[in-house]
Amino acid sequence: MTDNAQVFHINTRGIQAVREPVKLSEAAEKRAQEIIPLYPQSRSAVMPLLYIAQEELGHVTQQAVEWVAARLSMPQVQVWEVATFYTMFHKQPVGRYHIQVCRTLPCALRGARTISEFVHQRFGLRPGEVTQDGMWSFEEVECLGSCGTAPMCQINDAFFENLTEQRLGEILGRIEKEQPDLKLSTVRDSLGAGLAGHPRSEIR
Amino acid sequence: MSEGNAQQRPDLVNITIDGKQIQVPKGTNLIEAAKRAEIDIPHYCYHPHLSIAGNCRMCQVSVKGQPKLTIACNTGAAEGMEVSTHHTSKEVADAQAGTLEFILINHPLDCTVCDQAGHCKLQDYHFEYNARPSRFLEEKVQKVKAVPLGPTVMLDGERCIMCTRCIRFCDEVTKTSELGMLNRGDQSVIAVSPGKELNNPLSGSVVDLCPVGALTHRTWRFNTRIWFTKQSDAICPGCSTGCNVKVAQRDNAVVQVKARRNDHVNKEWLCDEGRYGFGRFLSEQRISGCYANLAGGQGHKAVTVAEVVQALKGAMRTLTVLMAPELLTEEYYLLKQIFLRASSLGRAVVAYRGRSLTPVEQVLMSPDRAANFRAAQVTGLVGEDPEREYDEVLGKIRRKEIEHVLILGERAIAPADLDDALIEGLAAARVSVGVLTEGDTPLSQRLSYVVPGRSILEKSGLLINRAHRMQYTQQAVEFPDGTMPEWRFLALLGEACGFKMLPSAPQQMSDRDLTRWYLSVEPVIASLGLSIASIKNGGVQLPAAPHTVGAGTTTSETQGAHSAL
Repeated sequence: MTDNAQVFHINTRGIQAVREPVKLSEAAEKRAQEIIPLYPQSRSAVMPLLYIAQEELGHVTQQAVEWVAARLSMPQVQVWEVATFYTMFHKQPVGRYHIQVCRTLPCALRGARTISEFVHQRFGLRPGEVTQDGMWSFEEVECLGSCGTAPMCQINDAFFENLTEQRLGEILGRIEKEQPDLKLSTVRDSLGAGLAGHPRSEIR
Repeated sequence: MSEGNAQQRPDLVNITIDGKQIQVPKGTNLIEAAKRAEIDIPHYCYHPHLSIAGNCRMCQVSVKGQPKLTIACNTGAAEGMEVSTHHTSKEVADAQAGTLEFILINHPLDCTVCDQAGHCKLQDYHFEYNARPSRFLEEKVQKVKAVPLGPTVMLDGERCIMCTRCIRFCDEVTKTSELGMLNRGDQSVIAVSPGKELNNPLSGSVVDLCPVGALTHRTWRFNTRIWFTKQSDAICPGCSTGCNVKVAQRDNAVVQVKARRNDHVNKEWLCDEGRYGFGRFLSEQRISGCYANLAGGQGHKAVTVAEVVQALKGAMRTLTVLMAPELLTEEYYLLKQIFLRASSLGRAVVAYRGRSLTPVEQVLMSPDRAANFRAAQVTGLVGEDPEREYDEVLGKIRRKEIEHVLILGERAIAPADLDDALIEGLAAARVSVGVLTEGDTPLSQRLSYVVPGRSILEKSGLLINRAHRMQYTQQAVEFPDGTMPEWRFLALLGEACGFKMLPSAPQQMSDRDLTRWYLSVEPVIASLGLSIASIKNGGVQLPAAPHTVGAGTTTSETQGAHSAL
C-alpha cells in the first residue's frame, strides 16, 4: 500500500478565508464552553476544541480552525500548527466511517496487510481515499496499542480486534445494514472484543 | 539574558572559555560570553533579540563537569565554569559537523540559483565546521518552492532549516503572529494561515533573520549576486529612528538593503518603507551644472557657482532657508555659522511633517519622515515645533512675502506641499536659489538659480536621531560629476560673504574632512573627544539640550573658524 502520511500541503492560493464567523451546534458550543475553563490558559484547550469542530464539520476545515481560534483568542496559524501536527485531525474529508488499520510490527506479523487488502477489495479504497457516497474511508495508521489482539483496526473511535477477513466482513456488513441508526458501540460489543468503557466523544 | 553594561552593575562571574579567562555578568548566555572573549560560536536559531528556541543544536559546547554537550545559547554563565568550544574539544567539533550534516540531509542543492549564496550561514558554517562531502544517498524530501508569503517575502519550503527565527519575530517583535510551522518531522514547513499573508510593516526583516535562502525579498529576487555589490554602512534616511543599514550597490543602483545590528537604535530590524524605499532618495533626471532660469519661461543658461553665490550674497540679511530634513549635521552647523555672521534677520526651517503610526509601526518607526531634524534643533536653527515653523514659512511664501530664499536639498519641501501657489511664491521672490537633484521639475524651472546637489545617499557624515544619538552614515552610491554637496555650497557662500569657515578650500575637502573638522570645532561635540571610528561603533548618545549658542557669543568656535586664515 502507498504511504499515506497525512501531510498538509500549503497552498494559500486555493483556500479562501471564511468571512462570516461560524457557529457550530448548540451542543458543540456548550461543550466548548465547559472545556475552556478547565485550563489555566485558554489556548491549552485547542486540541479538545479541534476535536469538537472536527466531529461537527467532518474534518478540520478552515472554518473549523477559525471557530477554534475565535473562541481561544489564538492566531489561526497556531491552530493550524496543532491540527497539522497530529494525524488524527483530518485535513481532508473522511467517510462517515473511517477505517484505520494498524500496520505496525505485531499487527503486521499477524496479517495486517491482509486486512488492508480486504478493505481495498471491498470498497475499492486506497489509503486516504473516500467512497463516492461518503460513507467509508480508509487509512493505515501506526500502533494503536492493542498488540495483544492483533490484527486489529479502529473505526471512528472504536477498536475492532482479533480480526480475520471474515470477522471484519461481518462487522462491515452489520454497520452497512444498521446505519444511519447505528450506535457504533453496539456493533463493537456484540461482534468485537472491544474495550469496555472506551472513551469516546459525547457529541453524537 | 543580560547583555552587560546595564544601568546597575550586575554580579560578575569568572569563566574560562577555551582557556581564556573572562568576567561576564552572571547568567550571560555562553554565545554572548564567548563573543567577549572574541570567540565565535556558530548558531542558527539563536538571536540576541528573540526568545531562545534551542532547536538548531549548532551552538553546542562542552562544559567541564557536565556529561553531555550543552547548547551555549541557553546556558547561563556561572562562577568557575570551564567551557570548550570546537577550538579545544574534538567532541564539540564532531557534534557541530554532525549537526550540519543532519541539516544538509534534506537541504536542496540550490546554491546556484539561490539568492542567499555568498551570504548564507549554511554555506559559511559548512566551510568552517564540516567541509566533508555528503554521505546522503536517499531522495530528498520535496516541498513547495517559491511560495509568496506576502507582498514582500518569498518562501522556499525546501531550503528552510526550521530555526523558527521568522516565527518568533512575528510573535514577539511585531506581535502579528502571521507565521507558523505546519506538519512535523521532515515534512515541517513554514506557512501562513490560508487567506492570510505576511504583510506587517516590518515584514522584510524576516529575510534578514533567515540564515539561509528560504526567505528572500520579492522585489530584489534574482537581481544580483551579493559578491558583485559594494556595501556601505549607512543610516537609513527615512525617518528619525536612524536604523543602521548595510546598503549594497551595483552599478550605482541600490540592489539590496540589510539591517545592521545596533542594540540602542534598531536592534537588527528595518521597516519595509525604509528598506524598499531607499531608491526614493535618488533622482532620475540629474542636474549636471549650475544654471539660471531665464525670465518668461525661456529655458535656462549655464552659470558658475561663483555667480550664484554672488547673487545670493546680496540677499543674506533677510534670507529664508528651507532645509531638507536629512541634511548632514555638519551642514546644519555650517548654515548656523553663516546665520550668526551674515544673516541677522535670516530664518531657517526644516521640512518636518508629523505622521501617525499604527502600533506595529511604532515598534521601530518614528512619527516623522525627517531623519536629521534633531541636528537642526541642536544647532539652534529650529525650535521645539519644527512643523509649525515650516508651515509658517510656507504660508509666507505662498502669500509672496518672501524676497530671498535658499532651498537646500530636493526634499526641503515635502512633495505634498509643492503646490502651484508655493511655486508661484518662490518664483515671485527676488532671488531664489535651490541646491537640487531632480531636473525638469516645476521647482527647478522657476527658481532664479539652481545648483546641482547630491542626495543623502551620496554623502558621508553625521546624523542625529530622534533620541539624540549621533551616528555616522557612509556614502552608499557614487555621485554624478558636477554635483556638489550642500556643505560645499554653504562654505563657498561663507567665503563670498567674507569669512572662511573651513580649514581648507571647500573644493579640496572631502566629506570625511568635513566630519573631522566638525568633530573638532563644535564645542559640545569637541568636548566629548570623538573620532569617526568611535562614532561608527554603534553611535554616540548626546545630551538632549541644544548645543550651538546663539548669536553674540564669542566662543572657541569663532576663533577656530578664523584660524585657517
